[in-house]
Amino acid sequence: MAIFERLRAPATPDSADAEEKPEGPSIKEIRADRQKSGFFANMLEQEGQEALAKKLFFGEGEFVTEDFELMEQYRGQFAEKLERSERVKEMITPELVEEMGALHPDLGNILKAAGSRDISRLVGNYLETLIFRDPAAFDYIYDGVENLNKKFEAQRVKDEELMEKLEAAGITEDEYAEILKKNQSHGMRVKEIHDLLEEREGRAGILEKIRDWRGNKRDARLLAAAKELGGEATKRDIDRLLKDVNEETANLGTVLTATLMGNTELNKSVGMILRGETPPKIEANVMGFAEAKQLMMSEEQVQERWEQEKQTPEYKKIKTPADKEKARDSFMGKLLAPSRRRTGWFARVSTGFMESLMEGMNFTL
Amino acid sequence: MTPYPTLRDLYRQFTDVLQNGTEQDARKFLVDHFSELPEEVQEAVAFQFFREGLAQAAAHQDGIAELRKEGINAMGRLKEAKRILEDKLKLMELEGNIKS
Repeated sequence: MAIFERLRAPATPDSADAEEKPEGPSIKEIRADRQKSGFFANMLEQEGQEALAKKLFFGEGEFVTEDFELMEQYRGQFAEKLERSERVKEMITPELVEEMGALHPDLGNILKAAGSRDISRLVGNYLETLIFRDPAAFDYIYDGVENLNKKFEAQRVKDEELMEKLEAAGITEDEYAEILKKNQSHGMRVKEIHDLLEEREGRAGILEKIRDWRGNKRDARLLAAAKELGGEATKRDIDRLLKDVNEETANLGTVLTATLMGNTELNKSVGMILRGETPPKIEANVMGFAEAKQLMMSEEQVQERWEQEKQTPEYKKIKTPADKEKARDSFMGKLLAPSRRRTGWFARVSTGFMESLMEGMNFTL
Repeated sequence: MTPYPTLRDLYRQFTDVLQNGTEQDARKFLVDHFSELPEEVQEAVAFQFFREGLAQAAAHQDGIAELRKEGINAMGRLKEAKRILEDKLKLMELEGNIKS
């Protein structure tokens, strides 16, 4: 946003704010806020109002009364988008990012480098701009996060029910009562239960039990055998079968305990068993690698383009240093515009890189 | 904010990877240098991994829920088996008491 943020248009006439307004920031407030005016221009562009967006972005042309009327019409939509982006930012908590990082190796790696608080903030910031640039992509993420949170919530509720079955996993009532006594969060409670279980079984032991249980499913056979026991069965036969039932119950208790939320490392291993260790597939059109190759310019190429710009009759007509600075910012904005419109990931990365580099470059006026 | 000389150097390295390497090389570069990247690039990188992770997390949750559902059903069958066996033992005890 940095370059576009500097591109300021003339002040809004007072008449544009004279009427009764719907909720959200007024046009005057939007234009006084660097970030909001950038978002508003992006939204106008999405709505096919490119000329008006350019007035806002690049200060190209004078505003007329109709422009303010038009902007006023989009204000309600703008306020809704702001609210929606705030809502999704609240949903992307550090805890959610941690859970996901346990399943996605690259996300896990950047979490180690920056921490979950920073990563959730970075994702939220990106989404804040995405809703204005690419509403469909934003909705995809919004719905995905909402659904995932619902699934987590449903699992948390069931976790509470499951805890009652922990005795089967070898966790005694006393141990469980001790954990409950600490008055800690559900997540911490689950973590302690996992730790107890891991201490007893070892992670490999737990995972082996899950594999074994999924492969053998002895419960149905044990139930059938119990039902089939006839009058000729001895106490020894019954005791032997009861022992098998108890063993299988204990194994199953371990399996169910491993599905509790909160221990991301164990959950990750369970996930790998469920997925059969298949790596995620990433769609090529999302990546935009080929696009990025074409779009990314070297520092020398950018300087060369600026020197060419300075030779144009339009630039030569500019007299004051302030106007020259504005022309430079406009040049930078236009240079980035084609790559800004691309939606591929690498194209976005390249644009961000180029913009940051240009911010630090020395463009002589 | 990344100091300009560092940024310039990173930019050159990334352009080189982009032009001469593969998608995987470029991805690895971004992960390895994450802390040094400008914030706008960090946002794009973090968002992409989050986006990929979202689909995986949803599938994972479905898998866990399915595993748990199967487990709870199995637990019900084992409980039923245990009840049958314990009833048989009790019956045997009662019959023993009556005979003796």
